[in-house]
Amino acid sequence: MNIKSNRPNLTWRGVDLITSAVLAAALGVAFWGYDSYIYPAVTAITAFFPPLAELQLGVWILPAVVGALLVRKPGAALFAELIAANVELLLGNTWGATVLVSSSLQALGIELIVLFLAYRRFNIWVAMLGGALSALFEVIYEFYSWVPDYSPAFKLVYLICGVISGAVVAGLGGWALVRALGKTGAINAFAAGREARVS
Amino acid sequence: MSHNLGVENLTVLPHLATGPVLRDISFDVPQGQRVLLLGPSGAGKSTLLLALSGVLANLQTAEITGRISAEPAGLLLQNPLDATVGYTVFRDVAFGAESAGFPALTISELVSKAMTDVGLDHIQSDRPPQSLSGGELQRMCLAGLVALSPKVLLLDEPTAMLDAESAAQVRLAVEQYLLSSGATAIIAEHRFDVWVDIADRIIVLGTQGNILDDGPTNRILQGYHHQFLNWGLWVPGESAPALESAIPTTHTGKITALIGPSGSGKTTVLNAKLQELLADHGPTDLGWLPQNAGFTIAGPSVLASAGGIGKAEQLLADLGLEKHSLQNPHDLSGGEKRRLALASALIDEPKYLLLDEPTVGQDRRNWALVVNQILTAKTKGAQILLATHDAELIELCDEVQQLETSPRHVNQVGTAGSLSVSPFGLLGASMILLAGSWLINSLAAALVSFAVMFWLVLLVALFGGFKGWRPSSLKILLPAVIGIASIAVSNWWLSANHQWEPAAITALRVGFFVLPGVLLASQINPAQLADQAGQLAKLPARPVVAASVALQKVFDFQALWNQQVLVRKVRGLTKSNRLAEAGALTLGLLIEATRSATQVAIAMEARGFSATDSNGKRIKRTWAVPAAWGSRDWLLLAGAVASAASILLVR
Repeated sequence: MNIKSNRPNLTWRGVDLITSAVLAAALGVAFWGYDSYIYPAVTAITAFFPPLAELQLGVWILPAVVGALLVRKPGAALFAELIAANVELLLGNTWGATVLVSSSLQALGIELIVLFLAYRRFNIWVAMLGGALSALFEVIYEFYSWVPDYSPAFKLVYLICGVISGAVVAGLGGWALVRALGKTGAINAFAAGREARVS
Repeated sequence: MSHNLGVENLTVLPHLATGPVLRDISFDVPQGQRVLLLGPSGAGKSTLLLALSGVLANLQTAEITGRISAEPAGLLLQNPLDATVGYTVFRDVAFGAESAGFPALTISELVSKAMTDVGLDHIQSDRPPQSLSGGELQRMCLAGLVALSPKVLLLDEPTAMLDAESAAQVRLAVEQYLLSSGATAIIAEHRFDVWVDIADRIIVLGTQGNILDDGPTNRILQGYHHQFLNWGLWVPGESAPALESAIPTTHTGKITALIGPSGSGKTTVLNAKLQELLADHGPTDLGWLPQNAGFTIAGPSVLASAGGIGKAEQLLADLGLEKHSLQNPHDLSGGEKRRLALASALIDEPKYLLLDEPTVGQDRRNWALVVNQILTAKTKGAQILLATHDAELIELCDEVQQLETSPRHVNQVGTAGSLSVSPFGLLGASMILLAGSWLINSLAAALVSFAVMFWLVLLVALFGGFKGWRPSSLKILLPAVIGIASIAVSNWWLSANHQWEPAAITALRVGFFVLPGVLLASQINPAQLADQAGQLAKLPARPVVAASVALQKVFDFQALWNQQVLVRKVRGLTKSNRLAEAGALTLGLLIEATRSATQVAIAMEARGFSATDSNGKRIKRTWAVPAAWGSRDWLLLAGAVASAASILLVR
């Protein structure tokens, strides 16, 4: 089946808004759920060596990648990421309202990549590149606000860990999540879901 | 006779489907007629109602050909919890009127009239919808439709989830609206005894999604009696289907029914019992059919999910699922998924069985298959506890536990604080502190700013912002404190020349906006946030409303996550690799969330979320409640500015 169309429809349907909003909220809840699965061990190690903590930066960028890959329209990454950030605010988080600043930056990278490709390509490489660029923006912000006194060498370690995580956890992970969701038939209303079903 | 609903050659082909769900449907309905829509499962009854309401066209999930002409219609859905879109009863009922662009004053009149019309005038309109019982909730949804005086009412299995008494109340409310408004009604329902005596006409849909017959109620009921029974419909006047007679043995178990009106907490009691049994006996002695059957799916095919070849094949055949055994379990209908979940609960013949609404959504034939399996498990010695509102099933139980109705306690987002500062005030103050933190350039400035910030937090406390807090509530600050300590240590340790002063300044600068930021964020009320974003910031209404509805589902999703963790434990699916387990849990939650999103999208579209006027232009949404903003917001902002400015004095 050929589902590619030459001119992508860039206006938001109701189902785009609602499904991506609900998915982002659910991802926010999943992050809360990780409290009992991954974080306790990770927190202990990374509290003393924050550069390693950047390896989990990608988790926070997941909603942006999932939003962009699912909806394929301008603003999809930002919309999903802001909602997930709001869930964090509601359920209690580490950094307070500044997550709204970080989440805008974490959405910016992937937004720019899909815009650059004119909303025509949403494959695994686009996802990884978007995740990496989003992570880059976030790390630069963190250089100024969280870790200004690091030596250049440790800043580099910090940067590399963050960007790898953006590409792998957010990019590859987000792509795999949308694909797995598509295979279950839950997102048949979206091109991403239909492509996962036919391939 | 004037026709207010007509369909001509309607064919609906969902994206990716192999064939149409509806084929060449044509009929006309005169004003005021009540039509019952009957047919086997999968005949396309729901799709037809979605098409008639105009929602299907808005969803853009299927190719629709043919012509539909209908006056504005209201659509009532099966599960009122999915259809809930407001933080309060008032806001939920007002949703359609807001979409239609009515002024706030008109909306509040329409809402209170509608609440009276459906017999809910005794319900306080600021209650969270989730605190209502199932029957009240369905009538609240009806009020949301009635508020707009639709000329057509479309009802999709509106009483399927309800006990007999609640169902009767819903029927009464519907009937009263039809009488007073003269509206047309089209009703789809498996257990149609509730509706049969108000129906003038029956349209019969066949397995191919075509119209088999269309005529007066009595003629169709007589002519199709056997056909309906064959399809498994619950034909009124027929007794419960015949069951295999089980031979009692000495080690026969017991079935206890947990009953009570929808919303009386049957699921909660069942889950508590499960936790108790899990602690005492471990998962191998336990079989559980949870409320969300989808979570029990484990494997790429129905057969694999039930436990693989062998015993599972027989069990699937006994539950009428053998023809689906190689299918993707996620593609099953709701009723089929429940039977698959039952199969996987029964497969190891556990000593204790906990079943949450095992018969809901089952047609007559499958009902008998399910009940036979429950009775068989009993003769094999199982102790069975089941929550149900199904009168035929209750009759077969050995013991009945009645739960009293009590208003449900609802954990609702944004109601924790009583601080009357609005979200924009809270976020604004946080951002001012964030900006001010860049002025901190010396240890002295950092310490002074901290002292001032302390006064700011005290100011919030004086407003009553932390009412109901206990010393333990301060633990929400713990992650931030750890984070700040980590910043302090690492900025010293990982710096080029290991000086402690710059690291201390950095950490204090972060603490200056993060600590009050976390406290302020905990007071944000998302419903108010949406009202402010739409009215004060003038952000586009549809994304704001979609986000606000999604945020309401957060506590539902928390409950789903916990249920899923439990299901995986009971079924022995928990992976030892924590990362892999987190991935599986995330995917499971997202699947359920997407499924609920589809229902929410239908509910919102049915209330005009994406409605356009006659020129095809989007109707401008109005807001039933003005955005909050008051003197306390100004005061908090002023306090934040003063805290930030105090830094300038010591720089």
